Amino acid sequence: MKILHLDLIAFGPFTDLSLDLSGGNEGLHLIYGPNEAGKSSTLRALSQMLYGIPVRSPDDFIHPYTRMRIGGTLRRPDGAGLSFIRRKGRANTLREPDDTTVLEETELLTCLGGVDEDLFATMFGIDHGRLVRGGEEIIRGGGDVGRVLFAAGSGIADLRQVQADLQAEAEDLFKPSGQKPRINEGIAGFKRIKKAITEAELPGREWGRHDEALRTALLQKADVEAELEQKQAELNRLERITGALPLIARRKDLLDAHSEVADAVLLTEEFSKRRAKAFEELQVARNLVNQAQGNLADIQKNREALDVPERLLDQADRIEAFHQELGSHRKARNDRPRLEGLLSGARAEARDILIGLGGDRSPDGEDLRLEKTAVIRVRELGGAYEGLVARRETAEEAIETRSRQVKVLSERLGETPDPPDTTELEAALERIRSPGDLEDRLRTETEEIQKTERELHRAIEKLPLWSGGAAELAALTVPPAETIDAFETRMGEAEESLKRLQAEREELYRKQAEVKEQLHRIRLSGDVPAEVDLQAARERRDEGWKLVRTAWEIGDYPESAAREFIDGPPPAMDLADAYETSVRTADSVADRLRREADRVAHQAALVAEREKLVNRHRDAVKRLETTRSRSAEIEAEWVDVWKPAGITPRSPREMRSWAGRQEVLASRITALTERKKGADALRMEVQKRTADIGDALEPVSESGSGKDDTLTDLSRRAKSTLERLNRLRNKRDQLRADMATRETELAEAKSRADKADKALADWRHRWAEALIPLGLTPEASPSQAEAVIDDIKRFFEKRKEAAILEKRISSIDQEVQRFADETADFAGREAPELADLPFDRRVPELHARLTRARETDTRRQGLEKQAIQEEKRLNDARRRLSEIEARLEAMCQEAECGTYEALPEAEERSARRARIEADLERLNENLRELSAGVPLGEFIETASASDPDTLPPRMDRLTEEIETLHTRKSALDQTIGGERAELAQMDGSARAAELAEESQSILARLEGEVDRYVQLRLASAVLSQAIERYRKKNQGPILSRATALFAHMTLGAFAGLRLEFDEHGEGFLVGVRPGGREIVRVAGMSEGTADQLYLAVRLASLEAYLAKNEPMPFVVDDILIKFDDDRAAATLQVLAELSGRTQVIFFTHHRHLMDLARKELDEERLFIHMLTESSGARR
Amino acid sequence: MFTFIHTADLHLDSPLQKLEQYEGAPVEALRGATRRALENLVALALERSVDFVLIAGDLFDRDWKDYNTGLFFAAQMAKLREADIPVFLIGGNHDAASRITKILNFPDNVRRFPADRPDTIALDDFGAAIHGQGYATPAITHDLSLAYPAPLPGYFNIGMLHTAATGREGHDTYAPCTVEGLVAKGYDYWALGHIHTREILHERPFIVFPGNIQGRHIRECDPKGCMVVSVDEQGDATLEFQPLDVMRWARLKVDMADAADGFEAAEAVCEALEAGLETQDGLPVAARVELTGPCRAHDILSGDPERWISQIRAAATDAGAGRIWVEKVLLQTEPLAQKRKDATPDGPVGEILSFFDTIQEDPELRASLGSGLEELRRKLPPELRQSSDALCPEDDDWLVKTLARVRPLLLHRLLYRGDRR
Repeated sequence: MKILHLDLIAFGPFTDLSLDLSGGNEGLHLIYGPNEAGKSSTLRALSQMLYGIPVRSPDDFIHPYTRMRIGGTLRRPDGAGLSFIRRKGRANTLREPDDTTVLEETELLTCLGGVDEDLFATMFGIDHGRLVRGGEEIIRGGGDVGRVLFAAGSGIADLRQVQADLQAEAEDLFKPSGQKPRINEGIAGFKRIKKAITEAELPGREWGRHDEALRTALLQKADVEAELEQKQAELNRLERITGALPLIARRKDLLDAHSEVADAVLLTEEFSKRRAKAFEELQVARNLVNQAQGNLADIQKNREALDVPERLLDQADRIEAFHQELGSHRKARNDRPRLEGLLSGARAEARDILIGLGGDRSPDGEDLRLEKTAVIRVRELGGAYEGLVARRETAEEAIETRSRQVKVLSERLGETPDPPDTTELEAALERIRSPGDLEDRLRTETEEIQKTERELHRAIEKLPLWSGGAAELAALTVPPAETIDAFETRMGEAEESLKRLQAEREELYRKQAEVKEQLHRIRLSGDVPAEVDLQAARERRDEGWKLVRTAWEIGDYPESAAREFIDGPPPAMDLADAYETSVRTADSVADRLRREADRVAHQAALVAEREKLVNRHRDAVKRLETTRSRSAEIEAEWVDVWKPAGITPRSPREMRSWAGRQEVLASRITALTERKKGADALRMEVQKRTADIGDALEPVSESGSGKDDTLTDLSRRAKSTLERLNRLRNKRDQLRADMATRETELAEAKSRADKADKALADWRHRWAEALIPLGLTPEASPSQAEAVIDDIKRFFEKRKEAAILEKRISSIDQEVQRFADETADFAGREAPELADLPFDRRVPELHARLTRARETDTRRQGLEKQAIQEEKRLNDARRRLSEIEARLEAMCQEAECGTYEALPEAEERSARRARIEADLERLNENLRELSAGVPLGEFIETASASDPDTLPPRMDRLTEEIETLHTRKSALDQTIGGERAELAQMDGSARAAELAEESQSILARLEGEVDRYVQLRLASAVLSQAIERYRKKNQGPILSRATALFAHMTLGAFAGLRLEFDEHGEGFLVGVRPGGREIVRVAGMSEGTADQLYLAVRLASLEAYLAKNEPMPFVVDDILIKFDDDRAAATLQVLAELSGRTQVIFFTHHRHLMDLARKELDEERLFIHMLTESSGARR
Repeated sequence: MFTFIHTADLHLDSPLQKLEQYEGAPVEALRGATRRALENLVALALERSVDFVLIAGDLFDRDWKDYNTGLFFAAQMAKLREADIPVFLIGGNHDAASRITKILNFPDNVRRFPADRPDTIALDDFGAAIHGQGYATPAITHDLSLAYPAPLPGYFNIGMLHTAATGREGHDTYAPCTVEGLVAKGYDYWALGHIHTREILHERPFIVFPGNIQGRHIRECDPKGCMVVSVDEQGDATLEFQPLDVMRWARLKVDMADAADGFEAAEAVCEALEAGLETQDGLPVAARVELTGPCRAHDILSGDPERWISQIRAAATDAGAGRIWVEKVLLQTEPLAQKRKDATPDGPVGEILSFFDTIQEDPELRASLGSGLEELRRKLPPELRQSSDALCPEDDDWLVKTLARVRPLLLHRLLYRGDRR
């Protein structure tokens, strides 16, 4: 089979790409595809064309599954072709080339000779990876010949690995002597679980045994319990009797004791308490009675001992009055000597004053008495005198001071001159407020104007095309911007079309030259016939013919015409020759025209082109001229526009800028002129003001006006002058005002002095009159007058004082006498023994006696009160006593006693009886308990009847028996508990059943693993035997061919291969060096050499296969990439040789391999296909 | 008039056979299946308030020794006692061999028929008479029914008999009898046991095998349960089958015609399993899947069976929501007809193919290949040696079949490279 075409209709990156693989006998088809070109897709397509596109395909990235198509054309074994289309799908994926009619797969199968997809890929395909693996496996396998042959023959590079895997997987499952492999482990696990089941099983008889044991134990336990009950009862009875015997004895004693007190009245305990309380109270009441009686007797005795003076007490008020009066009398008597002293003092003083006043006065001084009015008058006048004198002095001082001041002021006024008038100067200064500003402004403005003028001047100088002055420039008339723009556009357009036309002209010229050159070239390669040539040749032929015909018909021909014809060109011998030549020439020209139609046409086209170009060139030149003159006109217009300004313009663009500058300059010039005018006005103003001030200053200034001063200086000077003059005027005015004030004040002072003198004279007159009553002369001063008045007043006062003192002394004496008499009288009556005492001792004694009498009386009253209280207490006590005695009487009746002293004994007997009875009751109770229901008497009788000495041994015996029974019972309980627990554990657990299920799971797993193991072992055995069988059949021929190929591919580094045998007789391959002496084991070969060894055997096997079978294409995928160029070339040669027997399709990514193949291989065998865009293979 | 349950062949605690545990297998759902089936039986009896229960033999597996099983049975019967439901038992061949049956203390509502002679129990409350006889020895080879007493007149007569009847495949032919013989007895209902497949041999009188109550291996497919028999005043019986099983066994043949590769095969299996689940009353299923038919996936599946079986199990786990246990996957697909080779190609691979052909024709060669497996066979536990088709190297048929499976496996390993699919 051979693949003639592989059509990648819609597959992977391809759409309608067809690879023609039909070339060559079989052909080495090298398919070159760089990365991304779709080499892998193409490789897949090759196989899938034959065997179908798999369910999951990676080649659907452009064409969806439903649209995927691979077309193919094969050469069948019988030589016929088979074309078909393979689509992707589940069934009927093979179709006729019409892509509709289903084609039976068997049609294709006949071409494949039993090679299925896997086998095709493995045996008829090789790629770099498998080549390398094949080499590696040879090395690893030590060159084992069977494997090498089988692996290389089948293309199964990793045969050894497959075998090893089979072996390893089988051993993972089972080893005869292993523990770990899964089957071994499973078997062990199964055994373990069987054992576990047995352990988990509950044997039925065991259950029965436990059940039986439980029943028996339960029965025994019931027996033991019955016996235990009976023994325990007897023991209890004996224990009761034992316990009762001492009680019975005690009971008898108690009954005896009871008989003694059986008649005792039973008294309650409360009775005893009551009785004891009554006794206590009785004692207390008796004590109280005794005490009250004693107290009463004492009081009586004390009262009788008291003596109370009743008369004295009756006169108590009088005695108190005396006692009180006594104090004042004693005091008055003590005052009297002092009063007498005072009296004599007053009398002496009055006498002294009278002597002091002098004159002959009466001793009583009655004539000295002054009227009140006289005294007042003297005092008023005396008071006014000082004021009058002071007024007179003040006025005189003022007159003196003012006169001096007036004098001084008039002197100073005389020294001060009168200042001149300054009104004019003030007005002038008022008119200019700030002269400095004015001048500064003028200066600054002037400077700036100058600066601006300079700048402007420079700018104007710089302005091109202008030589005039500034004013003219400002006034210049310039065309407006719109005009300039319009000109620019027009001139630009003109320029543009000029350039374009020039370029066009040049282009046309160049083209002309080119055409000319081409024409020239055509002509160089031989004269090119033209239609005109044919025309000319035919005309000449016709001319000749006319001559010949003429000659032929007429027998003659026009000589001259003939001559011309014969001579020219080419010259001939005669007419016949010439005609013949002409005919031939015409034919030849016609022939050439036909034969060299291309050239002719080309030339004709060129000629036509040239003519066209010439015409266009001419036209272009004409248009250029027109445009030029138009351009000149525009320029002339441009110049005219500027004539009014007197300027020869440059280009509009420049002129637009110029006009802009001119406009700016003009406006600046105008502005400057305005400023100059302003500055002139300012200057005028300054001059005017200066003159004004100078004129006003002239008359008032000592220094004069000074005409050259600046306005500022001048006005400063004027201002200071003005200030000085103003100060002078102010000073004079002040002096004058002062003067007037002082003069007025002087006049007023003189008037006041006159008035004071008058008042003083008046006073002297009145003073003299007022002093007469005092007996003084008018010369006496007011102070003297005042002293006399005082002495008189004091004299009368002392006299009055002495009269009062005399009166007081006499009244004291009278009072004392009266008191002494009165008390003496009283004492004579009431206490005669005191009558002789002086009254100041008598009265205190009386009073003392009264006090003592009062104290005694108080004591007596107290005793009486006490006696009443004691009486009351005594009565109370007696009442209480009788009450208690009544109570005790009642208790005696209750206790059946004669007296209450017998009560305690009755109580004691009652208590004893009660105690004995209680004891008896308790005893009976105890006995009743022990009797366990038997009537007490009966029980006591029975107990008393039993022998106390035999009881303990009987009880001991019983106790022992009971203990034994208990032990037995508890043992039985344990047995029962144990058995019950055992039985409870046997609860119907599913444990054993679950284990049985688990064992089934293990069995199932084991079954699967055993099956797997069996297959692996059998597969391994079959493979080994197949390898051996294959080796035996193929070893000889394949090895000898492989030897040759290996030698060739290793470029003679090895002479070939040889079979060696190890100690077991196993054959292995070795390499043989040239000469045959040195052998190289595969382990010693380089990887590349091992690859070549594998490839050699591989190709040898393939050849052997082809010898007997229908050829199949051998698909090689880039196996040479690691070979050096020489070995790659050698290998390519081998493949080329193989392509003589079957189609070899060699895919590569590497251009150098393509080049190498081209270089090394015969063209007949090598066919190169490219999967690149540039190759055009891809549409 | 009255209702009773007829059941048989409980085989309590008999394990589910050969279920290999694997990741995702519903182990818990299947645990203790026979016990839970018995619990279902008791629950049914209580729910329906049946008047009595008949168990026609084989309570326990003959070799099963765990008395716990007996205790469990007794406990279940005790529940019926609480509801005053009597249970009538005859011993079957397994019971005759079972030690548990011999010593088990049955609750007093359970009455056993003697093994030495047929006996009759008359239930006057219902007007029913039950005749029966148990097995004295495991292998009773004569017709026990012959000796059964004549029907009690005026009663609904029931005969309990553990029998293979005329013989059934897979069951020992014990106490053989014929339908005619049984009909001739004149009883109204024959409650049979022993055969695990449900079958009504005759109607009026009814002769009924209720089958066992829980399938335990792949040969016991179909719903398993008991017969609820209602008898009306006229003595006419109505039968109603009630499933008691807690899981089912199912064989599933899946045609792989459309499967182009292993994944599609797994998908097809899942679809079939999902469809199959619907017929199983919501119970878990242990399914044996057989992949059949010619298909493109054949080479892939048979080339690496282990992988695809795991894949199918995993897919089934996903699809079955914990209800499917894939017991086994049998790969029985065939290659597509058009891919069959007419000629064996030459070369090493051809050598293998022709060697396989040789093996198919050469029994001695097969035997010699099989001899390598003897070592393993000797080590296997008897359970596998006796009853498995996993390993019988001395059996030539087995060798032929096995080697046929080895062929694709080997070729797959040699030729298949994952990068092409």
